[in-house]
Amino acid sequence: MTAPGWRRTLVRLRRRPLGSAAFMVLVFVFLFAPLVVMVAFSFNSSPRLSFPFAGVSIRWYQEIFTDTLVLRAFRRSIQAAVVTAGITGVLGLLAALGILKVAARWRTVFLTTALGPLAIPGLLYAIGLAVFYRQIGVGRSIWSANLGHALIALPFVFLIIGASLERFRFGLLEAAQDLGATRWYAFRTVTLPLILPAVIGAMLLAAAISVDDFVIAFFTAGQDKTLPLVMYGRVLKGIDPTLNAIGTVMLILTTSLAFMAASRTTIGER
Amino acid sequence: MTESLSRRGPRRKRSRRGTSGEVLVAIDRRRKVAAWLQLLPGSAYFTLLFLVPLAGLAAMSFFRLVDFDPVPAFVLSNYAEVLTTSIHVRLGLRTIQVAGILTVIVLLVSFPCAYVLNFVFRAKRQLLYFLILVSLFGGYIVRIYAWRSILGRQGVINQTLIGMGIIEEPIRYLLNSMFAVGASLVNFLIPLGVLPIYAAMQNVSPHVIEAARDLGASRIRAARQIVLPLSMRGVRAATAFVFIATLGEWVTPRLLGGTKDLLIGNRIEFYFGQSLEWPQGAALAMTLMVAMGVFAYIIISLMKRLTR
Amino acid sequence: MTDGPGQPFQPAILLEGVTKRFGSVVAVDNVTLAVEEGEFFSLLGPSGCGKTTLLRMLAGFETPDDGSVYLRGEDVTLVQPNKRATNMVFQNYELFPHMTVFNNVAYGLKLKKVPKDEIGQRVNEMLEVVGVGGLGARAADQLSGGQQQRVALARALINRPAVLLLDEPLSALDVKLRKRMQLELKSIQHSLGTTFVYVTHDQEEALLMSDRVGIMNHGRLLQIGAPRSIYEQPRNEFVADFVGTLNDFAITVTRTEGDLAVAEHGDGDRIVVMAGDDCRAGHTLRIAVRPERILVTPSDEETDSGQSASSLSGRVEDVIYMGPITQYLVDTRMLGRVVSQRMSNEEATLITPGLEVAVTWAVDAAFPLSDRDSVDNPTT
Repeated sequence: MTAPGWRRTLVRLRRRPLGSAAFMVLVFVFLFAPLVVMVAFSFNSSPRLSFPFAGVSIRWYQEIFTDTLVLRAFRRSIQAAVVTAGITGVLGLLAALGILKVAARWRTVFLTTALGPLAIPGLLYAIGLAVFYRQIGVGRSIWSANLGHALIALPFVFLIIGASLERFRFGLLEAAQDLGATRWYAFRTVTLPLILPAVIGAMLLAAAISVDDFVIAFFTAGQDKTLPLVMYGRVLKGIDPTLNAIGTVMLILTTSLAFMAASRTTIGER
Repeated sequence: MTESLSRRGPRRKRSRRGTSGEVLVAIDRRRKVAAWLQLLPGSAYFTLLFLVPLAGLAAMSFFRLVDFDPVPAFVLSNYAEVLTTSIHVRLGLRTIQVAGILTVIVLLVSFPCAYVLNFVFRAKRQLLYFLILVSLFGGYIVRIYAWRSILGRQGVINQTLIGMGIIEEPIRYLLNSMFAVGASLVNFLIPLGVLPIYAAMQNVSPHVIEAARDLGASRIRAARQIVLPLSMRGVRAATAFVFIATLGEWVTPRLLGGTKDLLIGNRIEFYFGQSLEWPQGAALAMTLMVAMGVFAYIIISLMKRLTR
Repeated sequence: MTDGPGQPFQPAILLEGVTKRFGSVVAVDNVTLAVEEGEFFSLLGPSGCGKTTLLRMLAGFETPDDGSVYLRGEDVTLVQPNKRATNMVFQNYELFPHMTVFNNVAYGLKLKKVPKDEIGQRVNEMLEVVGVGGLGARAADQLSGGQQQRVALARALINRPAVLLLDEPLSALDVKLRKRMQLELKSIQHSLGTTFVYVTHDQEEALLMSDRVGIMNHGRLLQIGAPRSIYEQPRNEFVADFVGTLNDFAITVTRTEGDLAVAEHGDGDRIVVMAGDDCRAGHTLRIAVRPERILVTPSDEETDSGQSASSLSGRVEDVIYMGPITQYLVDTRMLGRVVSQRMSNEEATLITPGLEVAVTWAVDAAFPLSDRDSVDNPTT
């Protein structure tokens, strides 16, 4: 920085993406405003949603962690996450492996229909599922909701694992086979370890989708209320300061799932 | 068979030749069968829990309601009732209008956002991408509720403005209004818009932009004429995601809108939740689905024409 | 052609009439070939000539549509790759990126249930042999290109294969490293005595390393021979052209002298070649001369080439300095452009563009050419 001259400084400033930076800051402020506000209010000692804060406390957390209704809902949400991840992991991995070996036109058929759940509003799928359960006489429960969660998460899992298999170098399998490995041994020692990050990432994403889901649980879980359902009920009743604390707990849960999912799939990409 | 395949005719007699072909065919067939077996569980699950329920919903729309119990039948009266209710027409049109406006807003934010992410702050894109992912999974209900804390009479915005002396009375229409619904939905939909566009842009090399700039194009021109057409797939996907998500929306208007700020989704929820008139609800849902298909077709063909 | 097991001279590899088609494309066309134990055999040809397909049939990744593959006398045509005593060094190495170097090399031995301490000992020995001793704990995806190449070699060789198959293993390395690895590979092969079948499109590499070379084009094996015979007595135009650069001419014979045919043109220009008994004046011959056999001397210097040599007059078009050698492009009156390559020495600097020169070569420098791609029954 030895006296570059004012023109040089000006050009250098203009070359910096200041406009882009400002734009991104605005977007991120807008995106995160509700989350920041929620986390902040969860530590507000006053029960009113008033700003500025009266003081800082963790009383709402103490309240929800002694509230059996919330705790039970929390346990259900975790269960839903695990079940959804399990179902989608197995089905998605198998399907992604199978589709590599079928003829191209069938592949197109499968890939297109797999996108179906993304192409219709969650509300319509949820009522369709509710109608289906009623017609076949399945009651409303957390299990009924789980099956729906797995269905809407399945396309994501299938596509993520499929993408990692597309990057997989199949020459490695030839190398393994050349060294004496059977197909199954090569799959176990080469394919699986290499696509495992993507598989686990996809399963974590499925878990996050399940935890975050409201609309399917609303129509199919009945009395087995998950965290979003409990929150919805309380929002309808009016202002409830525990909501911010529940929301913050959920945020931590879903973002840590999403974080693990994202870091694993990006490792898988390289 | 082998004789006709060999151009040079038989060189030596070989009894094993026939078996060679058979073994190959058998191995090939076994691998194909294995592939289909791997696809089977997923396909079965998909059929049972996606295709069948949707077919069931379609069937339900023709059922008759007897003592609040849907009875299998084939009547068109549900459609007649649903389509002649004036509030449905009004809410339907408003929903489409809102969905259209929100889609445009979200695209106008998402495309530059994906562009900046992928090309300007390339070194930090993993982190920024992750932040967007986080906001997508930040909790649906949670976020709607948070908007109440922001927009309410005692909320962050009103109290800040009063504290600064800009206004004396809190602005009432911030909450329980279409504005609140729109703000919350845009907030929720931006990640859904950015992700597919960003994914499509991954395939656009930064060198292509450099080439365009080298040939004299401004940044904006390069983005519009080079990057946009190359990432059109993502833009189309984003459009579809955002539009579809808005059409089926009902929780946000319920929690953030005023009593009159409803969307068509609220009526469907009403039929299934409160009035328990499922066949009517199914008919309305099927109508929405058909309308959605028509709109998707129109929008996509319009976009195709625009990019050509 | 039906060597059963137990006969004294078992070739390491025997291919009999092997043909492979992909759809309507004949990738490998009726190839018959024997490779001896301990031999370094190269398959040389342009990309798409079928050499890699042939190698993959040896490894078992492709099954011939027709013909048989024998390994040490045993018919392995239908045997799966994991059951064959061949191992392969892949073009892009295909090292398992999630394993250490050690585990990569140990992979084959673990499958053979070799005891653990023996595996450790053999892997470390092999890593020493290929020159990456001490890198065993390194992750396979943290190696340089040359190191990867060596590990891939170790991973294949440690299984003591009957035949080691190498699919253009050096093509990803830079020139300098490639030259070094060529010599190292040759010496490793020599010290272990393993049969190598080496696929390459680099003629220099093939000539340098191999005991014998097979030239392929359009799926056919055109000629097999020791490097010297391939280079000096190519049997058709494709081989001659692919292996080294070449001047080729069509000449019309004006008279014959015993088994020599002479073509004369203008005053003093003549070409003398060995020809068959049936050659008569008026016949057209196609002949080829390697550039390094062609001498370029200033016209005013007296050459003592004698009556048996070919001699043409011309003018130097261009002189291209290429380091150790210099290339001269001479426009001759009789045959148009002739390319000559000589060592870059003091004398060479005397020849400059525009200079009138005499172009000469000895009788044995020229060889007749048959048509492109004609197969010269390549049984050995």
